[in-house]
Amino acid sequence: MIQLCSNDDPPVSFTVPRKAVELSKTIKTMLEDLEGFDMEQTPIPLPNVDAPTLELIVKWVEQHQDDPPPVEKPRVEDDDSDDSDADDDQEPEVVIPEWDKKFLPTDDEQKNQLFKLLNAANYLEIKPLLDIGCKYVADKISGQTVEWVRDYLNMENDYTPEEEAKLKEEIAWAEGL
Amino acid sequence: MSKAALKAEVGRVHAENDRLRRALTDVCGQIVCGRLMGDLPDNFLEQFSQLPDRPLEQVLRYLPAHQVPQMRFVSRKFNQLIKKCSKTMPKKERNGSVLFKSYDGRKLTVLLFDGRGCKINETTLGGNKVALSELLRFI
Repeated sequence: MIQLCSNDDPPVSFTVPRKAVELSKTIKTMLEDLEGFDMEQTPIPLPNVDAPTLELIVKWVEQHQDDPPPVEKPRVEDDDSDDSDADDDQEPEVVIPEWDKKFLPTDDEQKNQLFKLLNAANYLEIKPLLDIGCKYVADKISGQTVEWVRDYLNMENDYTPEEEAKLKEEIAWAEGL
Repeated sequence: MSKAALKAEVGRVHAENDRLRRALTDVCGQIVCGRLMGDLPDNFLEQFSQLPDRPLEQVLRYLPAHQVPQMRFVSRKFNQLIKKCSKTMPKKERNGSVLFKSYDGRKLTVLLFDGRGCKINETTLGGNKVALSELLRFI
């Protein structure tokens, strides 16, 4: 069993089976690097994750610890220094399983909890969780207006009216699509 | 290096050291019971209510393609992310133009012209399943 600690003061710790916790690539790599140390006795602090979010993460990895491992595709790194390979970057269809549908904090007032969860999944590199979370958010904002999306994603309209007009001109070709 | 120059260098390093030590005390003064007090950096709290870039890019890739151009109005950051997703895509020629020939149910036919109005390319894209990257190469 591995102990994970939230960033709260005092930290809240969760004890998780090693197999489950290794769904996080970040922690898996860390544990591999620390091979030889008794990690059962050493709590791992997670500076970016608060207790309610960590509780969700733990729930999710425990539920999914026996899933067959996802097919590893060589991941194209984000810096995109190589221009040749992005063309066939077709996103695979993501289906959110029933259990996960109930699991995701989907009420509108839980929106920020959902974002925190995705933040944590990103930081901990739990790709399947990130995939379904992003898919959920995409489905949520799909077909919505610009104002709605702005509000949902807690974003400010930081365009000047001039910039907005210019952008409008730029994308005029997409009208009526 | 002459002795004098060396001495000056040592003096400079000492001064720098003192400056850093003072700066450190200032920061330590802000930490009370292990917590950073005083003004938090700008956007400190926001980072927890906003998605970081990588998940946002992923969200964008799952969006129906025809919604993406509109989404550029959401904010500058959003626009940058959309552009970033298309960074590696061949772009429309400066003076060329793109025409959407038809949007029939789930199929979109795109014509690409060069500056003199000659057709360069015609592509058919499949409705909502179109990867964002597919569409963005025409923007």
